[in-house]
Formats: sequence, structure tokens, C-alpha cells
Amino acid sequence: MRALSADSLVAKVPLLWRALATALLLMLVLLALVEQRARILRGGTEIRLKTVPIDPRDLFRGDYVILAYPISTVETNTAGKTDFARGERVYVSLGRDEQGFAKAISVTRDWPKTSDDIVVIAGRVTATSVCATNADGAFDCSGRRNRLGIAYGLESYFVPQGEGRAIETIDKARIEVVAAVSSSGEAAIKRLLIDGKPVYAEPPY
Amino acid sequence: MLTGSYRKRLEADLPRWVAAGWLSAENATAIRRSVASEQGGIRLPAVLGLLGGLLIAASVAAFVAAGWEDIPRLVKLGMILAAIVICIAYAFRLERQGSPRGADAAATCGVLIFGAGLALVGQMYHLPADWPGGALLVALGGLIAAFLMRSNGALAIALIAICAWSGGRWEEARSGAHLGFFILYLPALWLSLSRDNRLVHHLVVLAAAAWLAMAPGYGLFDRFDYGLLAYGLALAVFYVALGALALDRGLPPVLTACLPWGLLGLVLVLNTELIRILDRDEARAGHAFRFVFMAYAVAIPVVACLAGLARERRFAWPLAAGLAFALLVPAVFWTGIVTVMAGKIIVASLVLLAATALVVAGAASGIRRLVLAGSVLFGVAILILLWQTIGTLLDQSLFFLVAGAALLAIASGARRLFAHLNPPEKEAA
Repeated sequence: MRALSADSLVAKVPLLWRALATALLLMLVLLALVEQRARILRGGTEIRLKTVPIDPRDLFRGDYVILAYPISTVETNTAGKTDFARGERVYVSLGRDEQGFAKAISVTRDWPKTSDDIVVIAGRVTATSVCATNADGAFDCSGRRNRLGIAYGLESYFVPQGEGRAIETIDKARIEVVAAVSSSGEAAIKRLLIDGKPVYAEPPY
Repeated sequence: MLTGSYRKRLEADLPRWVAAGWLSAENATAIRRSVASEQGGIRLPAVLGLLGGLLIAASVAAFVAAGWEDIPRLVKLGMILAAIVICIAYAFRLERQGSPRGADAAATCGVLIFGAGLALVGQMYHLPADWPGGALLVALGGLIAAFLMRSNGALAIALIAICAWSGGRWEEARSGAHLGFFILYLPALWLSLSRDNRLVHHLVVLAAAAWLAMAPGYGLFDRFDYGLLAYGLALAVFYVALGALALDRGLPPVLTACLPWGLLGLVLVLNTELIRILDRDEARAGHAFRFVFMAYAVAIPVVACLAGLARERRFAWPLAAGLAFALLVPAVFWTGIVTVMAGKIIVASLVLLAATALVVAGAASGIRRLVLAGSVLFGVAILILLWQTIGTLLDQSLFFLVAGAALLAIASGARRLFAHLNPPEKEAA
């Protein structure tokens, strides 16, 4: 019993090595997280997204803007009830509309076979049976509720304290986001534009 | 276990033992000095250091949250990494200088700054507010520091973070138990087995209780079912029996932390059952789902083990009997007789019997929290019975009279019972 005790086991390693390993491992976790995001920004395919922002406050991470996109609700191909579950990982194929903004073409459980001009983005189902959204981005619940709510990890944008409100008051039609999508479908926000002009740009580091 | 109350008892006992000639005055002084060196003054710098470390970590967290753009974010990240290195290096130095508690405080501060670093990266790359995911990484960092630096504070942070992560994922999925919990909980439990820190012990036990509470699934909480009370009762009985067995048989000290939380659950659930059986609309059986049977299937053998394996029978037998009475309460509900007078009398009697058994077990063993739990259960049960009576006030008066007479009879027989359970030759030896 005593031989299997965690403390007596780890005490065999000199304290200096343990302290070094602790500091290194903690730093590695942080740096791995940084590199994982930076890789998307460096090499990902760019897509343009229209937005619908609202402004909450995160106690731990300061001011940020919550962003929603037309592709946040996606119509499933199955008629009537959707067979997707909350929390499930899905892949959405994105094409372009006339103005060049991304629009969802299809949603699948597995990586879809696509042509070159289609970008595939990975997301997680946040809600099933969501109402459709009309051209202005408002919900229209008159029709069938066979849409999925999907989060792509592009829903928060952090701004310096006090600037969240300024973005919130701007007409949502004027805001657009350019995101980078990696070859595995992971996405990160690259630029935030107002009236087509970049307001915030995100370098990889 | 050295606590303040132990020191007070020792202060009361030592002069008596010296006066009786069992102990010399020098020996008493040596005992006092030994106890004083184990606790008290020595802890003060470490406690202040821990509080200071917490404030510094909070300052770093607020600095990150401000999103101040005058400092480039890579510099901010570098500052966080440097702060982690400084904390761990300081912990190393304090450990070398023979201040393990100070080292613990420094390592704990390092883990908290690591948490602030995670928030910074989340801010830098606009990661969505996925707090369970963040809690998972904090738990991982906490476990690393708890294992390598043997830090109790880091282990405490890891345990809280594990609960936040598991609870968040459970709430998101809205389905059954979150099994991923054990991937991090089992290493934390393993670490806690070699620690003598009570905070860590209590957190380990509470984390398991939180998982067990969530195990039946989100749906049952969404549309509340009285079956959950039976489940909670069986879990509380399991905790009390396990804690008592650990105390009696000298099992790992972490298990003894089950006792107070089990007693708290027992008192709450039994009093709730008593309130609702006296209410015409609420006296319903509830639905006995799979988890209720599973909890009973675990609780009953542990209570039997307590009765059969305990060394000190005059403590274990009344306690096991009290727990068995408690387990019978939901069974009375399931028989469907709760709407008639007989059912109400049986449930009220079972609750009072369980309370009395707890007090008896506590008095016999000198475990004050058992006496306290039994007394609170008894007192609140009497108040509930006076507030919502069994039948008319005259019926209620008869019930109290019979119950009181029964208790007096037990009291007069208790002396002989204890003498029988605890043979005199043991005391003579």
C-alpha cells in the first residue's frame, strides 16, 4: 500500500527535477493552446461571414462581443425531425452567395466529399429544432422547425474594456468577420470589419 | 488527528492525569510541547502566504480581463509564463528551506496564475466561452502540480475544477452520467490517499457525492421525482456507514470524511420525508428508478459490513440499526400505506428511532458529530410533528406519550445493553 502511495513514489525523483517538470508542463499546456490556434490563423482558408452581435460581459475574460452568423442555424437534409443530438460534432459545407459571404450548403456527421470551392467547417450542435432565420437574421418560426443551431468557436470576440458597447450600437449589417478555416475544419476569427474596412486584425501571435 | 478541540481536551485531561499519578509533570509538559509544535503558530506564515498568493493570482486574472492593449499580447503571455516559473521556483526554494506549507502556497499560486494564462489565451484567440473546457485544463494543471510538487492546494483546485468540468458537460449533454469524470477523479483520489490534509479529504468525498448526485441524469432533476429522495437517502446511508467503518477499522483517513457529509444528507432527507408524509398532497410513493435500486444494493451491504466487521460493537450496532431504520422509510412510501394513519405513524417512528440510534452510537463512541446529527434530526422531527400533526392533536399527544415512554424504557435498559456489548474484561485489560 505504502509503495503505491503517490507521494512516496514521486519523492524518488529529486525536487529540482520535479519543480522543473511542473513549470515546463504548465507552460507547455499554455503554449500548445497558443500554437493550436496560431496554426489555424497562419494557414487556414479565409471565409467572409455576416454577423448578428449582442454584448454581454464575461467576468473572467473581460469585455467581449457575442457574434451570431447566418450559418449558425443550418437546415438539415432530413425532412421533419432532425436526428442530430445536442453536443454532437458535425461538418458543414460552405459555399458563397452573390456577395461572397459564406452560406451553408449541407450538414453531415462525417467529413463530406466536396469540390475545391467548398470549405468544410467543423461545429458542435447547440440546439435541435431551431426556427429559420430570414434575410435580416431575425428568427421566423412560421415554418417547420427542422434547423440545427451550430457553434463553430467563432461566437465570441474579445475587445479592450469599454469598446464592446461601441460595436454593439453599430448596425449589424455593417459588421463582417473574416475567419480562417484549417484543413481539419477548425475555425478562428482573423479580422473584424466595419463597412468593409478592417477594425481589428488578429496576427497569429 | 490534531485539532483545536483535541488540544482543549488534552489541556483538561493532563492536569487530571498528573494528579492521579498516571503521568509525571515532565511528561505532561513534553506532550504539550509536542502538540503545540504540530499546530498553531507554525502554520501562520503559510496561511498568510496562501492568502497573499490568492490575491496576486486574482490581480493577474483581473489584469488579463482588462484586455489592456498597450502591452502586446505576446508580452502578456510571457509575463504569465514568467510568473508561473517564479511561483514554482519559489516553491522549490521554500521546500528546500524546510517549509512545506509555504511551498504548497507558492505552487497553489502558480496553478492559479496558470488558470489566468488559460483565460488570456482564450481572450487572445477569441475562444468561445466554454468554461467546462477551461475547467478541464485547470484541473489538468492542478493535478500536475499536486503530483510533482506534492501540493495540497493544487489538488484542492484540481478537485473543484474537475467538478466544474464534469457538471458543465453533464448540463450541456442533458443525458445520463458523465463518465469522463473518472479520468481525472481517480488520479486525484490516488493523490489524496497519501495526504493528511482535511480540506483535500472533504473535497474528494464531496466531488464523488456531486458525481453520484448527477448520475441519474438531467431529466430526473428537470421533472423532479420523489424517487430522487430515496436515492439521496441510500447514498447518505452509504456515506455514513463507510465513514463510520473507516473510523472504526482505521481505513484511509480520506474515507472518514464521508461521515459528516453523509450525516448532513441523512438529516436533510429524513426530515423532508417526514414533512411530506404528513402533507396530504405530497404523500406519494415516487418512482423507484434503476439508480435507487443500485444505491440500495450498495448501501445495504456496507451497513451490514459496519454491523459485522466493526471492532467497537456498542458504537457500530446502534448506528447500523439507525441506518437500517432510515433505509426503511422510502420502502414504507412504496407500500402505498402512507396515505393512511398507520403509514404516518410508521414513518414518524422510523425517523425518531433513527435519530435516537444516532445519538446512542455517538454517545457510546464519543463521536460528537453523531450526537449532534441525531439530536438535530430528533429536534427538527419533533418540531415538524408539532407543526403538521399525525391525525388530531389528541392522536399526536398519544404518539408522543408512547414514544417518550419507549425511550425511557430503552434508557433504563441501555446500561445493561452496553455492559453486554462491551465485556468488562476488555476494560480491565
